[in-house]
Amino acid sequence: MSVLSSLVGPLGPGPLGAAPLAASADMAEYVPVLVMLVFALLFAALNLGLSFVLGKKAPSNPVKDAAYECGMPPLSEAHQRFSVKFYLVAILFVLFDIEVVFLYPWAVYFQQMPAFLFFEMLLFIGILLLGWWYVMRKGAVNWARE
Amino acid sequence: MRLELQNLLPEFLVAGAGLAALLPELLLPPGRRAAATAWTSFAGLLAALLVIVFAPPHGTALAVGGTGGEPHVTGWVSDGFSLYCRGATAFVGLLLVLLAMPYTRRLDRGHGEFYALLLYALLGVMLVAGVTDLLSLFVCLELVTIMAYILAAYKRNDLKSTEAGMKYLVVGAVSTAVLLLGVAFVYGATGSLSLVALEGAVAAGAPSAFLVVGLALVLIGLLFKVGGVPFHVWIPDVYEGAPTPVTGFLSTASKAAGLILLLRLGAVAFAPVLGADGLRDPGTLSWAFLLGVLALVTLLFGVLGAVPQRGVKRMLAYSSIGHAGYLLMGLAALATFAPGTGSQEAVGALLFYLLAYSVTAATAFAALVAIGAAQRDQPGLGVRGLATRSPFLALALCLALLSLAGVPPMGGFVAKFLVLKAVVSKGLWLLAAFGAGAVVVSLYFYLCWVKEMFFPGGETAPAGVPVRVPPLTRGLLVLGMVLMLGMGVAFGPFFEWADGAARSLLAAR
Repeated sequence: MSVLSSLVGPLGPGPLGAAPLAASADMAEYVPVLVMLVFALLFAALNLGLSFVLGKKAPSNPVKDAAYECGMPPLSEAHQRFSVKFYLVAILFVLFDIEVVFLYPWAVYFQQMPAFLFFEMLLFIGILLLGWWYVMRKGAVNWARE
Repeated sequence: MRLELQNLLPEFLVAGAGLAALLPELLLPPGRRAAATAWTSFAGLLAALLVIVFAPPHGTALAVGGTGGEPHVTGWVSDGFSLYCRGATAFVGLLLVLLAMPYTRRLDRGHGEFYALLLYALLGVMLVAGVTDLLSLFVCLELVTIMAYILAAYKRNDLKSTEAGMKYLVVGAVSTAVLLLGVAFVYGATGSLSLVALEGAVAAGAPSAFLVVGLALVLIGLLFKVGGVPFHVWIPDVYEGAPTPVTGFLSTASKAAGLILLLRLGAVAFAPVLGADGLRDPGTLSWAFLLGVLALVTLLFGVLGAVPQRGVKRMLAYSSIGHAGYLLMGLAALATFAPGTGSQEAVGALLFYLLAYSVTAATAFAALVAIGAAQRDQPGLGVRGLATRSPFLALALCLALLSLAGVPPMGGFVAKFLVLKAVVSKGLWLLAAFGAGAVVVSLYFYLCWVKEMFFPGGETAPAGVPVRVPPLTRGLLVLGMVLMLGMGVAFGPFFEWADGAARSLLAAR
């Protein structure tokens, strides 16, 4: 991130911040991005080209074209259907993950904050608890039932 | 940063109702869930509407700066324009909750989820009305569309519904990406996400290429939402495949969200700018021409595409594209430079159009939901020969179609008339002529459907048993008919509200 911002230059104020209008419309600030793009393309082309020129060439055969599975012969198609349980777990994980994302800065700031924010967080956790109750009642993690 | 959450009271009520709508799903036996969630949702929307009408909050909800040398920047505002749009959304939401009842009663699962998703989508539309910042614009619009994806695929075991949801998701994701790219470009050009800063950058003249590209991309993203050609391809399939109440939502509130944002953005970025010597033409940006051409193409496509349709939902989908054409026509009038009060007239006409169209479409879809509910007992029941089965349903659908066509005593006529008047007052004669011509063509296919209902001809549908319309649907349809006629005959107060909202939108300039 710091590398990027040093290349691109100051990114301007935050989303809601007001800024002088003329300053950032200058396209010259974006030239480093272009330079980096060119270098990235050159780097990729160089490596591919080198391996093409220097590498050993052998005719293609079925074994070579097969998917690589740690050296074992491929067992089955890679396209499989996954049980919806995995998605449910993933989504629930994201929800509680986000809760932690909100809770951490809140906890750090806890000493100096107005009482309003305390109840705000209670409300947030209350809504989340309602969702948790919903998830439990609907049997989203009750895998043995079927 | 300053939060004034009391200005968001109607939205809190709707959000709370959305949570409460899930509770019957957890507490009540399956048979009683549908009615309980529906009435919870109804109560929440009604409370929000009452707050908006009787204790309208004025002010910002999210403000940054404003002290010292910093300018005052807002992310969300509750002004006359947003109050009108939020009130209209809450009202249309009430109609949608009522019209969905015959549908949700037949569901064997997922009653609470249906209303919760519907309420959150409506909450998104209400929030969209107040945005004054490109970031809150994006977040609020996503709230609407993500709920709409799920709702469109609500019939999980129905292939067409799943397909509709999938198509909507893919197309919607692309349009969201385009919108976000446009926001990024605008941010790059102006250094701020605020619409005030955007207005300043446009008014300063000689906008950078970044700004023009960014605005064009945002415009494309919003055209997807309202269904303007060439970004309309998803509409017929999604409207046809989605459950009928959801189609009702898509063609009213969801479309409104796009138009509300186009008006917000149009007022600051596309309209003629306010110079030291009064209004002046931005000159370098020919948004009026672009919007005019888009309006023309959209109108032609919608109207001509609706003629050969054999399914009533698909016909209404094309009709919805045609109506997007009229909405774009009003936007073109807003973007055209001309002395006088034409801009306010155009915005007022569009807001009136939005309410009249939403009420009309809600009535039409309420009739279709009632037909769908009766189909379970009487397979083969359709629009064809409906008048012999249920004269009441046929009358409601007939009035709705006449209002969509723009026949004089109905609200749809006044709405079209006001838009065309605004277009003419800006001197766009050609556009107005096409708009009037499209009315004639659309009259043809709407009347064809009316004829199907009353005089099917050929092998007439068997007279059969009369369709039983539940009293609630009956009441909803009567309300819809009264409103459609009321907006056509006594349009004064409705127009006053819309005009006041338009004044508030343009006064900020």
